[in-house]
Amino acid sequence: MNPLESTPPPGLDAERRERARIDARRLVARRRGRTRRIRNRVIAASVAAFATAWAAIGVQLASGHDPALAHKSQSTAKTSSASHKRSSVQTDAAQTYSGSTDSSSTSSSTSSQPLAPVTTQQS
Amino acid sequence: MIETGLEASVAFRCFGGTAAVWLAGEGDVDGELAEIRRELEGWHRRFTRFESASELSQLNADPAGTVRVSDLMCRFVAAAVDAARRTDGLVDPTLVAEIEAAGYAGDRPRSMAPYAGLEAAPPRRPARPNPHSRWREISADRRLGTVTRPRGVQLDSGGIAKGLFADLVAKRLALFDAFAVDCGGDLRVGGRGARPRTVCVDDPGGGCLHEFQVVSGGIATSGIGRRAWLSASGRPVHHLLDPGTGQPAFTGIVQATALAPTAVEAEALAKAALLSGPGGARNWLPHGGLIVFDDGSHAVVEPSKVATAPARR
Repeated sequence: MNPLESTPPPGLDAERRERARIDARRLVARRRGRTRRIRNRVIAASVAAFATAWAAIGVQLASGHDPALAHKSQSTAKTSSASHKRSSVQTDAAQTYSGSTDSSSTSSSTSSQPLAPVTTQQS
Repeated sequence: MIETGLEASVAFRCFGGTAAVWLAGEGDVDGELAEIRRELEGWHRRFTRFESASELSQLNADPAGTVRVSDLMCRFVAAAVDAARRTDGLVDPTLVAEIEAAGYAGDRPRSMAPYAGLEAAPPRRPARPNPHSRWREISADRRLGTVTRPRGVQLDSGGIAKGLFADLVAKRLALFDAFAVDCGGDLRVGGRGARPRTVCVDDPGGGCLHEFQVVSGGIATSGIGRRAWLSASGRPVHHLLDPGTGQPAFTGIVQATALAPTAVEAEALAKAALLSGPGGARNWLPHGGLIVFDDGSHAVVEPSKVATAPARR
């Protein structure tokens, strides 16, 4: 209940009613001050958290570690010669493809992009 | 799991050639690659025959019959002996004195055109195991951390170490979506995504001889085209020795590529195939491979049905 709207009890004299009003105003002022402080703190904390998060993201991007690009930044793009035979073998999956002649080159689709080709050479 | 379709990679000088790792998947991929590079470079320093301070050189120089070594050295010795056993002694890790006598006592960059001077090489014939070789007397005890071998018997890390390193790195990367490890030409590919990867067989003369599509496993190539030189008498010399003679082997095959469940197995099979010559090479390629003959022709060996059993880890 708002103390300003309360009705003084009957029988109080003018001085006591005035004191009660003063006390009520002080109480309201204290409550408003407390509300203001809490509101300011919440706003400050939100702004600080927002700024910290964006600062962290900015630092990560500036250092070249964009998570969305991390696996692409150092990708290799070796292209093998395309005019030789190709055969497919799964050495440990109990499954063997038949060999085939193939003169196609690698595709460029990102989602289905083949793994980087590797070369075995005389060790 | 996120599939980017592209991989992070790192390549660097190592093992007298180039090492490289490709990696795709979640997690700190760049940090993983940097750590693997440090590890491989450290292993190279420990296993090179050309540095007297390396662990391998110190083992070879130690006069004791039983020597305390690192766990990795135990693994290498066990792998080398296993390769010798699997190939009936064709892949003999004890030919250090012979290879040094042939002139391979330090890093040898390519000093002549691939296969140059083959016409001056001895008549072709398959290599033979040395029945008196003492690799059978070598053992490694990982529990005790010791290697036991006859006094004076030295070990050459050779391709077996590279295959082993590729396998160890592969084990570390097994949970990533896709990976490939290249330890100086010895490869290991795989990953949880089970996606096929193109593996090109290098032609030392340039280009790609053949492409395999490999989902998971090891691939290794042995040959006499890269680490070859001319002797003082002008005869071609290379680093793949016939254990029976201790001399460079001229078998009629100049390069052999083997596929296998692991890189260390592939390394042993490729070397055994080359040393066996045209008549026996295919028998050493049960998982598939490629043979290059010294007339310049080549043959693709398809895997036999026996070879398609699940890999041993």
